[in-house]
Amino acid sequence: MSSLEQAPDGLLARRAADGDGVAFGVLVRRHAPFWRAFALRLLRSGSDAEDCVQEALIAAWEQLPKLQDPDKVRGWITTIVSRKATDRIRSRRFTDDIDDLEVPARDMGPERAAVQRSQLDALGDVLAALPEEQRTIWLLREVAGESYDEIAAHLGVPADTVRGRLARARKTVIDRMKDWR
Amino acid sequence: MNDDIGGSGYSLDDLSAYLDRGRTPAIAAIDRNPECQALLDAMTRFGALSHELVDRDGAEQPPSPGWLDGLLDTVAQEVRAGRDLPYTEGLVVTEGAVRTLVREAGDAVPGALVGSTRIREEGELTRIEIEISVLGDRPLVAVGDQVRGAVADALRRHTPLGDAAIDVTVVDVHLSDGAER
Repeated sequence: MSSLEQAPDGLLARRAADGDGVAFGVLVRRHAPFWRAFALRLLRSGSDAEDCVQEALIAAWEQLPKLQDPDKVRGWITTIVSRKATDRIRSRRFTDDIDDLEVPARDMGPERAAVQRSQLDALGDVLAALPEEQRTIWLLREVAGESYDEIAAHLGVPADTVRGRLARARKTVIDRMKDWR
Repeated sequence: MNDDIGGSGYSLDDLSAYLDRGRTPAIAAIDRNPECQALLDAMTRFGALSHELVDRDGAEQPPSPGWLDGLLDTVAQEVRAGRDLPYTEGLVVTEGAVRTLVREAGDAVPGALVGSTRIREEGELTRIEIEISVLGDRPLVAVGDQVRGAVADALRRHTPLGDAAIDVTVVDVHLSDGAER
């Protein structure tokens, strides 16, 4: 017997586009950990990340009937999450309300710190230490797979600025990760 | 490091933009230069690792079930009923209700999952187009026929569309673990 939990993303997206809330729920439970983690890397605040994913999913539910390629629903929703997150980042610049940001939580107990840190931990630290404008562009490019033009439109900066900041971010990451190359 | 990588005449900024253009049109001075290649490989690898990092974040710090439930409740309030279809005089049945009935009837057939459904009016005739995915080890034609039969039966019992033409198309084969084939 088949169940929706076994269904591929594209089928769930097609059903959700037809108004099947149950299929949408299965899709959301499958990928929400990724979307929330992505928003958390961008926004560095758990409550902001959750609000942002919620907004993105409500928008996705409304726009699903217009989605051209339902098989790519995960990437499509990732892009909506990034748009909602960059809206927040841009509005923060005006309110300057960046005091209570949490660094992504990670268990750094004594035993853990003594163990050789994994490559992913090292990369996570390097990304967290990038200037926000570079980190945002890195994540939109490398995790959401957006083009320079798409990133430029989200952030309201010229595509040339995106290209330059991404190159600086790459230089920093490569320098600081040289032990792992 | 930034100005002239390995005597290629290209800077790290150039390499970064080249990578994002999909390395086309090909630049021989970059493609034949070992230092350029090492940097491009590093950029590609750390980009891919960023995606992995967010996947791991999501697996290690999953969203709380309460947040997910609340989110899906919020989305569920935005129901899409679809247009009204004429029933007997003074009574209508919504397209959304018919689609739900079609999905439930089709899903009840062992090995079948209903994807998208379309309801078309062709003059006097109503045509219902159903896309299905079939579990890997099941006979496609037999499952398709069973879905058609189950849907026809449900429509006859519960809607004014008992005479509708029903087209079933097998568009996918799914495996038991949710992967596509």
